[in-house]
Amino acid sequence: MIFLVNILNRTKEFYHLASAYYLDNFSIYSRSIERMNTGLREGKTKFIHLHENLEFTFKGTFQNRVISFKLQSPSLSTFRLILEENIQEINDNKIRKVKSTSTSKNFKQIYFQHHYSPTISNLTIEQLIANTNRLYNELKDLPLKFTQMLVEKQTETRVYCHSGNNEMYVEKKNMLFYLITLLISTNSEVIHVPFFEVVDKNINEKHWMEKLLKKIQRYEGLNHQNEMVETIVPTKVILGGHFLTKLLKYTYPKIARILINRNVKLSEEINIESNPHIDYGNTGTFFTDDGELTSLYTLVRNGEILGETDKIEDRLVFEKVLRRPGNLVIYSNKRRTIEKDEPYIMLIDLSDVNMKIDESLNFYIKSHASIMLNNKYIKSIPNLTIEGNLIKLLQVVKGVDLELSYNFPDQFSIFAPSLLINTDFEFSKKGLRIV
Amino acid sequence: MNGISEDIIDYAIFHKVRAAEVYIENKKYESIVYDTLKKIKKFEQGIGIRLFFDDYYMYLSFNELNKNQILSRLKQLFIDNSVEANAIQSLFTDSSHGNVSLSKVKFPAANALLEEKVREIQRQMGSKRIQFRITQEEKAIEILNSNNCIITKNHAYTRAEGSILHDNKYIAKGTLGFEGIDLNPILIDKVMDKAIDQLSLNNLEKETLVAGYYPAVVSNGSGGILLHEICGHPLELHSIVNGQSIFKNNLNQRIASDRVNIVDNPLIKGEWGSSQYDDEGNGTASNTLIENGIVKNFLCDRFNSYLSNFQANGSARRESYRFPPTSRMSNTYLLPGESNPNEMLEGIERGIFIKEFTEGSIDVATGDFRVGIKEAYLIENGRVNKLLTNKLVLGNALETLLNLDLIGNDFSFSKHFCKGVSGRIPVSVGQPTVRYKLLNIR
Repeated sequence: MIFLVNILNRTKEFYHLASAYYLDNFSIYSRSIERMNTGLREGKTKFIHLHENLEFTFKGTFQNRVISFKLQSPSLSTFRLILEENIQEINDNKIRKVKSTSTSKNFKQIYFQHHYSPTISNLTIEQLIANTNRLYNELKDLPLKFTQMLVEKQTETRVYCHSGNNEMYVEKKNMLFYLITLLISTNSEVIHVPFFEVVDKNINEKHWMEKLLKKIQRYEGLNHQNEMVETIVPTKVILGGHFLTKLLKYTYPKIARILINRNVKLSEEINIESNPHIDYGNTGTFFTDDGELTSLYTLVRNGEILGETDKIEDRLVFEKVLRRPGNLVIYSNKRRTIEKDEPYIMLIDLSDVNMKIDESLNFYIKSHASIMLNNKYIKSIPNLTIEGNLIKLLQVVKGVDLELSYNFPDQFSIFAPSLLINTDFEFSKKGLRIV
Repeated sequence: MNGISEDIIDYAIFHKVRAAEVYIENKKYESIVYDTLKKIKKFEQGIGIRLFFDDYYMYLSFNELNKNQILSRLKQLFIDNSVEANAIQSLFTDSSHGNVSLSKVKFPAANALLEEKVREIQRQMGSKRIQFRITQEEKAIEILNSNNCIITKNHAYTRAEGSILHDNKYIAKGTLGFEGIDLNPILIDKVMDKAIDQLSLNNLEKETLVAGYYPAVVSNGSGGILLHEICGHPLELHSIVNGQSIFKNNLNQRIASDRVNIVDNPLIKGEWGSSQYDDEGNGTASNTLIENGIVKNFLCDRFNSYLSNFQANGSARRESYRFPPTSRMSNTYLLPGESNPNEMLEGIERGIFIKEFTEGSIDVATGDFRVGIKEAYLIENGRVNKLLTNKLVLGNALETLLNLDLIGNDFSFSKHFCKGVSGRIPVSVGQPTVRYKLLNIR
């Protein structure tokens, strides 16, 4: 709670100080972030980290010219120094006499705490260490090595206020996540697979740990180089959730531009929402850093791109959301089915950072893959070369999984299920070509 | 610093930590684009505290330098972590706010000379748009450790980027880095010359080499990125201690021809990795990593030195107070040899001349690396010919080092950023023109 009090008080102090200058208008957006993690690195180094940071973004206009800066320190004197330096730049090195500001503004504080859990907030270092040890014990018997195993608790508070009104938005949220990097040695290659898992606050720890182990064990299949059955020929391709989230994230915002400009029709199975309120990955927010309240917005319904309207305002909102989404969620009502005894290739995870993707989203990339039969790994193929076109793939989806995968959060997250692809493909030693 | 560092160290030592270190930083960052005059300004201050226990460390970072708050967080952590939890109430009476003062240099609001220079070039370029971006960072740092070593140091660097745009699309770019933050219009000429050179490449006839192994001549300067990846990273002690590095068992063993001498030297003036002290407060030194092809030393930081039998040698670095330091490179280079660069092309029927690399990465566990090619040309019958579109060199560190057969006498440095576990740090790489018998080109 110290942190929440700190950021609120400091924002108010900065606001009060900025009010003293003859600015046309201004806003302050501030964040406090507390990160506490424990872990193991490269199998040996043990560490405990605690990071607490307060940061402030000031935007304003003075004599119709923009003043904008970011301050990663809560020092009032530094804030004053920078603000005055900016005013001097505009005003021929003069600071206009400050207004009298004897009284503070009485803000109406509007709280958003949907993503906040006191249980997570109260976790101590000792409990995080216990969680790391529990995870280590659960994983140690698997035939997998880990270059990194980390448990992290994050708490964030965001505050926004503007000189034009009396409202102060305050959003408080936290999360607990595990970040694990698997080191998989196959016959000829060593592969690092980053694995990010947010603890779902709504399920109990035992179930959650079982779910996590199940996900990790899927990667165990990549070790099974000796179980090759050359006679099995895959007849279907499934784009795994992790593979898809990374590919989509990598192609953003190019893919958004193509969808808008060419008005592409996707598979009927696909729905896409921009959902800034989703409670995963700490990217969900209830207001933007410009103080705009966010809302859920449907972008694609049954494969149709929405926003095809004559009303220019609606169209502009649609394009804005598509270009700067909250979290993107892909979902469908139709579950994918694979016939019994039907072998298929599952694309597990992108493996190459130097991906080749052109303007039309033709790609030539590498992914870890597995040939599977009746939900079992038959043969693993690390760094399989894959050639295709992302838009075309999204047009031939024939069913999806219910479970969503998501990527490590930064600006926004993409939540995607595994997608069954219904199209011809060529599979050989050279790779997979999906036409 | 109003005693904030000393009190933290005293408190930690009282609680029987093996060693402690406090790092306080004050940073200014500014980026100006000289056509729109768009600016990005950032100011940051913070403290990083590292506490060493027997086989692990605790790292705390805050950007509010409030001693009371920091000490109470430490106290809570010690209790949580079952470290002896004696309360020292006397330490919780002062409420000073520290402030490592940055030198009084103000970044220029917009340098009039640079503005005029950009306008002049803009006139020469006609319909094409010119964009010139200056990015500068200046840091003041104080480090105190439990050996009673206190040091203060300053770092400053500038990166200039000149771009040419047509129909709002970037068609050519040139970049240049230098130490310090003094701006000089000559700089624009140099950077824009690079961008104009780049532009002229668009009109050259191009060819693509079929993926495979080719004899390669790699130019001086940024060519050193390859050696930075394949020799530098695997010789960082954190990789050795954790048993990950391909070179973990190669100390005093030959990994390259006897002409190969590789040094990491932070004491060279004017380079991006230069500093008299590392980020743990140790004095730096020139470290010979490979001498006559034999591995002679690793890059050692204090924590990993404690976990192994090696001495810390001033190689601990970090991006900022947010990162615990670890063993990293500073200015890493291949010493010049005696070959004439022009003669290196002789005898190559079909090969590649790599003028400039972009950036690279390596998996230290296997030694497999990849380095991006920015500019390369076909070598045909000993002569540099068409521009190549190939963009990648792949390979294995050991194999590639053994392929390094000729070392030129035209040494130069180049400035870059290096990403690692302790963040993104400025470094220099250097080498003369060299020849590899074969490189795997994609």
